[in-house]
Amino acid sequence: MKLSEYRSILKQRFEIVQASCLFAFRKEVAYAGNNWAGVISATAYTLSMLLFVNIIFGNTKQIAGYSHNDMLLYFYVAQLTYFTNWYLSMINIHELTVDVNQGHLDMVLTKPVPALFYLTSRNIGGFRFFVEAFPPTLAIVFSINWPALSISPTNLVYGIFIFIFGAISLHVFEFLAALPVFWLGESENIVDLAGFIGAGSGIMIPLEGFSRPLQFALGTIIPVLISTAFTTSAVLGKTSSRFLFLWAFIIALIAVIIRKLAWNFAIKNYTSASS
Amino acid sequence: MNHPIIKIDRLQKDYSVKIKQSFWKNAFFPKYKAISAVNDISFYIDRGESVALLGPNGAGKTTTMKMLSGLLYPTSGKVDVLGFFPFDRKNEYLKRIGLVMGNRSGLAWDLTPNQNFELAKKIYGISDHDFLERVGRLTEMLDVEKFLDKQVRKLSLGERMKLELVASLLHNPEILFLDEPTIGLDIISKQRIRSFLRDIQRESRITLLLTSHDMDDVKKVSDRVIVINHGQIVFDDSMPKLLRNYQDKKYLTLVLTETVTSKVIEKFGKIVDKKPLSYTIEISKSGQSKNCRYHGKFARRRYRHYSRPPGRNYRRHVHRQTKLRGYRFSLSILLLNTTVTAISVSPNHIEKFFAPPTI
Repeated sequence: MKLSEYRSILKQRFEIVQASCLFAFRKEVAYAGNNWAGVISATAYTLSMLLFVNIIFGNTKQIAGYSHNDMLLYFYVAQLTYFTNWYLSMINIHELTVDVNQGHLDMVLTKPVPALFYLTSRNIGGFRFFVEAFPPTLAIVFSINWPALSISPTNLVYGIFIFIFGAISLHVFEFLAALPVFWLGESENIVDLAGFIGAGSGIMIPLEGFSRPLQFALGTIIPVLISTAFTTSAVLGKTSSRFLFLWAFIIALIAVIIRKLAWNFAIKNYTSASS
Repeated sequence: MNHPIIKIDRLQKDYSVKIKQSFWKNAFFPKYKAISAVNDISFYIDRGESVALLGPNGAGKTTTMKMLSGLLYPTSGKVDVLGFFPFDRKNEYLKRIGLVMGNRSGLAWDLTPNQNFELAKKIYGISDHDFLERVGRLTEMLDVEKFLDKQVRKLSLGERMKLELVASLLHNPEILFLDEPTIGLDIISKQRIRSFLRDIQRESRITLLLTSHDMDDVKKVSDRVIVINHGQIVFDDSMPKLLRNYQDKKYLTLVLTETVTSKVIEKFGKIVDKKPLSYTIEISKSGQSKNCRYHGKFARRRYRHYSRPPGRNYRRHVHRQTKLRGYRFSLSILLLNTTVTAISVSPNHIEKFFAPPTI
């Protein structure tokens, strides 16, 4: 493929994302009264988690090599993972399962857009991401004693990339959980299970708290540790950031390839709900 | 000379269907069998033609349309639409077709039609000038300008369908696939949509492929009719010819609770379809008075005020009445001016059913 063709593909995708963001924003603000409940629930959850961390560290200095302050940073990254995953990935995945179940996918597949890209980016909840994530994460930001953390700029850059690769891998893991809908007709619960493993189990325990085999399994086969546990570990320099970067990059690359292959296979078996 | 823009050759689509077994067998060792929704069909459609696909529910009309629009991957056969294999879903192809489904919405419910159209403008790369001109013209033709800034979910079905049509035509497609576009609409909305489709087809030489159960849709919108039954084409010609060939005959499907020999059934009409527990018989005009006396008398007694076959109310009433008499009335649809009726009858009652009523 020529460079100009790549450029036109990128341009088209950028335009789709741009239009989708505006489209999603309009949908989000169509029900402004509903959004405040989300803000309150996210803030309540964060405050209860802060309390929980404080109680845990009331009796001990360190857990898995993490001090109270390190743990707050871990919790901060975990919250970012949750919000990124929910508003950039899960909303689209849930919508995909509903569309396949009810046959609305027909209307999407006849649009001149790259179907997989469009379906996984059409509902980027930017506005709600900002509104719901901002107040609770701000509470954590103010709880962290930043000067006490030893973060090097290199580790920070590696950490940002690991976080992005982790978000991609997690998205693919959840996306694959949604695909049985093409055969079974419904996969909401399977997606929820994947979401629970990813955004639940994957953000509760730091990387160093797992045994080696579990680190490998949850960082490779079910890649739920990358975006939170790998990132925090790399940023704090607890494990080689370069090593974790490479690991995360390879997993994300394989995940993207698997996503494409799985999608092609699923769409070929699409039977379209009866009309 | 005409150039076909839709070419189908020996097209087939099989679905895999689970065979009924015990719960545990079904859970751990499910068995499947292949069912042909579309079975070896071939036809050509020229540019600018308006063609209707007709047939009873489950005949394979929508499956054919979905394969043509690239939604379903065919099991075998060749499909060529505008020089593309539809399932490749190339952007160049998708930009040249439009799809409207009567029971699906292409418009986002939480937004207004105008906001939906703006997304379509971006996706299809429509210029500002063309966009404004087309929205203005199409909404004026359908008289829906006043709904452009109303949330889609607050629109009535008729208003929404009209706006779905506008959305599907914004990019000026060469082929428009319409799957039961008037389903559930009132008579005024139906008429408006039919005349709109006819005008658009004549004006812009767009190729229309329509599926519908409503004969008026077909009469008003299409020049050519393809009748599909059991996944196969049984008729492919003009509308007047179809009416000439079939309007005198009635088809009656009897769904039986026990097996009956063909001889018993043959007394009432020519058997055109036979399954283990069902027969479809063709009753000629002369035989209708004898065989359908029950229906005829019933209709005359209860619905004298109807000048035409009374439709749903009549069927509902027959359903109730036959149930009372020990018969189970299953389904009745009107097709091509001939009545196709599925009735479940006990073998002991079959003679009685056709006999003159005692009421």
